[in-house]
Amino acid sequence: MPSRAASSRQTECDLGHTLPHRVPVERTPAPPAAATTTRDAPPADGDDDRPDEALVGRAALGDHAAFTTLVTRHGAALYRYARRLLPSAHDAEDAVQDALTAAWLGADAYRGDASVRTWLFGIQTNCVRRSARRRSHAPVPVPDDARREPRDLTSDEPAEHLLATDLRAALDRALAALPGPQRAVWLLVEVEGMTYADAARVLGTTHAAVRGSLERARHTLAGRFASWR
Amino acid sequence: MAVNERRSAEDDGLDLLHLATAHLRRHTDDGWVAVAPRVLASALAALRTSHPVRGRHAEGDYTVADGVLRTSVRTLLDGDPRLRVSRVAFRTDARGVLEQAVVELSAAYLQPIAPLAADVRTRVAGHLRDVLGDPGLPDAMVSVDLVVTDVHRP
Repeated sequence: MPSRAASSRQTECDLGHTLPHRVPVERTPAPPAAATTTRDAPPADGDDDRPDEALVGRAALGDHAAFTTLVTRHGAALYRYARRLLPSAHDAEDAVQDALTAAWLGADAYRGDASVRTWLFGIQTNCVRRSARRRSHAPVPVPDDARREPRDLTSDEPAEHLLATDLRAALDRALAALPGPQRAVWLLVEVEGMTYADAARVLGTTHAAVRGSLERARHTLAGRFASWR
Repeated sequence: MAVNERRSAEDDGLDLLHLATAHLRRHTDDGWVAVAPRVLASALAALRTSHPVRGRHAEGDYTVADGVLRTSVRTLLDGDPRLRVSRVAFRTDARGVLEQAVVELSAAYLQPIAPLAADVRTRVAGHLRDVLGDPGLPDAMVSVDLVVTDVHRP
């Protein structure tokens, strides 16, 4: 499958919120010119212990390996979030690609006023909203895993795994029935572990609105699961 | 009794919801596994906007994209175990002539800062003179501000 045309969409998703950022600059006179020594960049391995903030800084310098590490850390979560807010895997892929493209292009705009994870989810939310606006009459999303065929009871799959799969599928179906804003709040707080403040920042809403949406979502979902067997 | 039974059903629902949520939290969608390499490659292939920095040559001026210049400075310094580059920025005048380069870096723990800063300044200034094709460029026009924002273990 060919790559999607990222360049044509690269400005479509807004970056997350940023604040002015500048560390104190110690101005010093320039030294006399000297012969230039060039060396190859060090291998990317062993860099995984660097904090996200350092990786974004490196990405701003054009470091592909650093950005790849960021995507390795957060890509699956971004996709999980987008997939449960959009009607198809194709839309989710597009939205994540748009978000990662925006993050790559805008890495130098990251100012550290929020965690990198929050920043990325903010970009992802903008991309999801844009996609949802394009497909406002699309059916309610149910991830592919939730649509799978009835399980094969003769398989050798451990019962625990089958239960986990069924539970997750039931949760995906229950989530799909929630209003979009409640679903987004619930995913950010309960699945991605964000604070109310971070979720509010990602969604561009208030702490109180997040708390209210979360309570309603939790009540509805618990009700669905009370009858689940 | 009826109240207790209803309460029990709600508790069961919450317990199941928490269990399902924990499973979802640990879950990686098959869809992501399938598309991740393609999505990453596409993002990295996107072109950044850049500003031209003027270079000089006997046969006429030329321009270098500031993104290219930034990457070349990073590459220059990346092999040095004493430091990690965190930011490189340039300022030019209205004609694109380089006025200032800013290098932010993290120094290795216990690394003497002053000699490291002097060395980085020398190397970056020399590199910029080479790339921009003007060995006679006055030092004052290629001043390098060096900011030590962090330390790291070597």
